[in-house]
Amino acid sequence: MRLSTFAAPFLFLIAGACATDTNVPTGRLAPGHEPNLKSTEAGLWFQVNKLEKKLASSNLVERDPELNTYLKSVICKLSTEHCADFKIYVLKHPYFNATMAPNGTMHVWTGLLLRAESEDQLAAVLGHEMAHYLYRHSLKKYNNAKQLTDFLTFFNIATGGFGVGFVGLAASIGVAGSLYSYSRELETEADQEGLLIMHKAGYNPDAAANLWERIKEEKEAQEKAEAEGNGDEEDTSSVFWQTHPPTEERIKNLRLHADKLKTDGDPPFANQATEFDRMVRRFWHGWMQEFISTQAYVQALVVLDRLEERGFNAFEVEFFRGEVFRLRSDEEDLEKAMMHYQKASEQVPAPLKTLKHMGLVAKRQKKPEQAMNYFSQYLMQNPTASDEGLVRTYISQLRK
Amino acid sequence: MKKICAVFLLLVTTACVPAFTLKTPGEAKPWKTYSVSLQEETNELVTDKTIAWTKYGLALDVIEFWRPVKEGESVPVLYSPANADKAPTFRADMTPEEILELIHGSLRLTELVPGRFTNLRPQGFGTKQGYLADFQLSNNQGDNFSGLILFTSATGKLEAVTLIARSLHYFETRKKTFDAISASLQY
Repeated sequence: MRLSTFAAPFLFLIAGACATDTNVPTGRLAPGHEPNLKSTEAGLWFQVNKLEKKLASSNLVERDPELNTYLKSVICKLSTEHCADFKIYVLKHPYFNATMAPNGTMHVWTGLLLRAESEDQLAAVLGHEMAHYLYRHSLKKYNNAKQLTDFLTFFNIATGGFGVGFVGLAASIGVAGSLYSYSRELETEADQEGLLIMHKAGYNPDAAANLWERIKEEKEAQEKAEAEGNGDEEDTSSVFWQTHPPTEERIKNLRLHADKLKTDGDPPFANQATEFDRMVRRFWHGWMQEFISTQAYVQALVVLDRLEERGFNAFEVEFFRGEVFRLRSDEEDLEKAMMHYQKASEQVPAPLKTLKHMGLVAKRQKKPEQAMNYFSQYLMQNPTASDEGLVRTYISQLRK
Repeated sequence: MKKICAVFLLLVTTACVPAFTLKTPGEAKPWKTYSVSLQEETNELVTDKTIAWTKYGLALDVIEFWRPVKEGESVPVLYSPANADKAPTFRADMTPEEILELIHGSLRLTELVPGRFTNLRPQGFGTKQGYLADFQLSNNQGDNFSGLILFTSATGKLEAVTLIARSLHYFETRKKTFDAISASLQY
């Protein structure tokens, strides 16, 4: 049974007022853990239960049953005994992030699912977050915070701002600095335990360091572009970056631990990684479009390169490269957009909205004949498209 | 002394906060560019970006008349402080779909999380060629909002009237008022 909603707030207030409950129980949580009602931990659970209740009805939650069942299955694969202790919500945020609340509620953002390249990499993040829960890191963080609001601000930022105050996602990214991250000690513990969890479950522990390196590359690509004067773009990896700095030392340690685990023995079974790929392929078009809308154009191009390397439809990848340049619209970007759309259109029929967007680019380039031609081709390929009326309006406007 | 300070701070604060005024039924001329007919009393808040009308309070429902956006200007949404200089800008030759992409991209830089803009269809903006679209928004507290945007760029500027209201109950209630205002719009 979950914590009494009646008793908990009073207990939490008492605990907060006295602030004497600073001894966090050590060791790993037992399966089915429920906090002692007189503890600060119970108060924290009460607070996050309230946030979760509100979140559950939000449009931000991706509710696809198959995706949610799949993610839950990965968690259960990582820890059969704690399977029932975790609840997972997929949030429609194109940023790279995952969080764990003190009550075992995990948030996985779509930006993470788009970037993770295998179930092993996903398991690396989930295992790391599970370790934060199993060793009560939130509670340790709370006890180290000077005031309750510090903790809630931390949690608010880490989760994208749910429930406490009106700290926006984009604004939060800017302020989520080292002040709000777990200590190096707790992060190291989560890294080591996370590796252990995933290895025991049969995942390749190298995946953790590989993922950190990928995120690091993304950040470096953006910094390089900025150094070359290509604008001040949104950083979609920074939420996680701020709280989980992928330093050389961290990556090195993850590699050392992974090597040790591998020499200690093979995992008991191999994972079914193809299921992860199938899930991402079902959703990636929408996730990518949202990603591009954050205006993190350089990072989007890096992710698109990786998707192509993984064998995603090359023509569709070209379409999204076209989208990046069309929406960025810097000097020469329209030519680049057209070049990528043209590559995409080599597939017959052309993927997604390729021909229509070629028409939009030609229109902006003041090439009305070309634009009309692309719009007409789009309608021929998609006679029942929902935007058919709109495209006909464009053609008639261009004829004038 | 503490009481004097508190009163002083209150006076300073209230002086800086834009005030609501009660708008009575009749004709209104937002930004002096077009007129609309208001059928019921409403609360009006005027800022340099929008004229906002709300019946139940800004957290629940708001009909906004955007200050006309000129070529090269960003759309009048409330950007997060760090993002104001990243805001994309309006071009007079944008198609309606590109305008929605502009608004969606702009909202990404605010404290709201935009959902998709859907059901874009032609609808007159007074006598001008305009478009209407549905959209969804969420805030980071997990609250859901539904919206409508009626806009035109036929004058070379982006002019828009929006309705944003809590999806539960308030959107359907206030949609009737939005529809009536849209239908009454005249240049």
